[in-house]
Amino acid sequence: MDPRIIVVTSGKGGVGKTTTTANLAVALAKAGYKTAAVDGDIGLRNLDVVLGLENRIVFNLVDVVEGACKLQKAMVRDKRVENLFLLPAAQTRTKDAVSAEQMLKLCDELRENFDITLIDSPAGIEQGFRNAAIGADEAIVVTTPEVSAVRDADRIIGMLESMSKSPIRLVLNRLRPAMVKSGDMIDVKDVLDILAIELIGVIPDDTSVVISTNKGEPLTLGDESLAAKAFSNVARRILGEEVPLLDLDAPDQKGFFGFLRKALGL
Amino acid sequence: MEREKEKPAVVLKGGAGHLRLVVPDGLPDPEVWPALEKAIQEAHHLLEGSRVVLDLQGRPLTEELIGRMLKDVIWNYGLSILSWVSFDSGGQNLLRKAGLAVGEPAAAPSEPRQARSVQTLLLDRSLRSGQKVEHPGDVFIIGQVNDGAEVVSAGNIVVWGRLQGLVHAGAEGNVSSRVIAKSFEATQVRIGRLFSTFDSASPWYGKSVLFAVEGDALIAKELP
Repeated sequence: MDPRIIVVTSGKGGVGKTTTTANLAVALAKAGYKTAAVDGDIGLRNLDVVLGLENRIVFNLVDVVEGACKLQKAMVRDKRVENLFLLPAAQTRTKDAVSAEQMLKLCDELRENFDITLIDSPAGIEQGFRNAAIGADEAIVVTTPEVSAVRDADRIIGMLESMSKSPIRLVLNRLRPAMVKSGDMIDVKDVLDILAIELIGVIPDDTSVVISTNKGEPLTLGDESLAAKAFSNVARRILGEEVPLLDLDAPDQKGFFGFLRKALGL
Repeated sequence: MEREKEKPAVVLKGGAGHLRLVVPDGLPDPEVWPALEKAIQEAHHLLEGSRVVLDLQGRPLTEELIGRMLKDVIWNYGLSILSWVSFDSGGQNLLRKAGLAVGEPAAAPSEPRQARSVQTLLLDRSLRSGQKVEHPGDVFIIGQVNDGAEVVSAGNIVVWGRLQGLVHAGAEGNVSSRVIAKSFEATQVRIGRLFSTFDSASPWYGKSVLFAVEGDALIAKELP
């Protein structure tokens, strides 16, 4: 496989870019690929916390592009998963600390050293996003089933298209099947109708995600939850496997009534 | 005398960049010639050097009438005809076969014509949020106009798909512009200086709709 660089972006903030990046990075590393998770959100770093690596940071992305240290030295190796490395963002600098040329150069270096690089983009459509996306070959757009998030995703997809990223694929995060059924949430089909790009995964809204984020232990490390399974499936699809979408209604089959329904074949 | 007064006369009207010689339907064929002669003689100073639209309205045109019009009126008085206007389809054919300009003059610089003299923009793609199309003529989009996208046109706008974004037809003030959407889901429509707002509870939501201006109001009409 040729080295791949994938930017994870969304336009809108708080839809789950960082969580998605962390979970996919862990799953891809577990699949045996040397993986770099790059925090592109200079000044507001989060990926280190979600990955549980914050206390091991010595150097950061800005140090590397400014030539203060070598890339290898700044990469934080994850001790739980082989093949997983984090390039943290600088917390004491701002987006202006990095230029597009510096990012392109950094991406070239990442390509030489890793099979897959995931870049966690900051929210917004300004220079921070552009820097995160400029060196990437492909993109994963994260959105939630909300009108505002979908509109922002649409905007970002237009920008990624004009930057010639390909493929641009969609992760629909925090779906609640019960709310979709009752008509209180936009359906997967409605979102795809508007965004018209390939869907690479649907992640159910799950309390396990919040817990894992706070603990700094991505679900894909070994959780049994439906969300963990959904993230693992996205990683497998990135690697080219054909994996059918999860039946998110499956939890209904737990419990007595679920058992009864299953037994009756409903 | 009373009867004569009631007879309609040939009228000379000023138009945008041309004069219009109107021969009303109510005037019997034989009386057309003296009436034309009278009108032309009265206004010869106006007609000199002017381009004239000869408006024959619904009068059935014969080869004889057209021939006499050329010989006795146009060439006789040295008129310069811009075009022939007639609602008579047989007459239109006769005029066209003779290579004469038929219909409203194409070059008249009135506002709606200006919009139509620009080429139509045909877009075979969807517009995403943040994308904007501005065009001095009609815009025809085969695709979606997503929420957050904008289309601004001096003429008409047709969206052959789902319209969620903002459209502004007749943006340079042409209120005869229309907006047509195959599936209307937008929250606002603008034509000229008028605009109207909608939500998902509106009766037009999800329907094929035409928007136009009538008087001072923006009206919507569901299309079959």
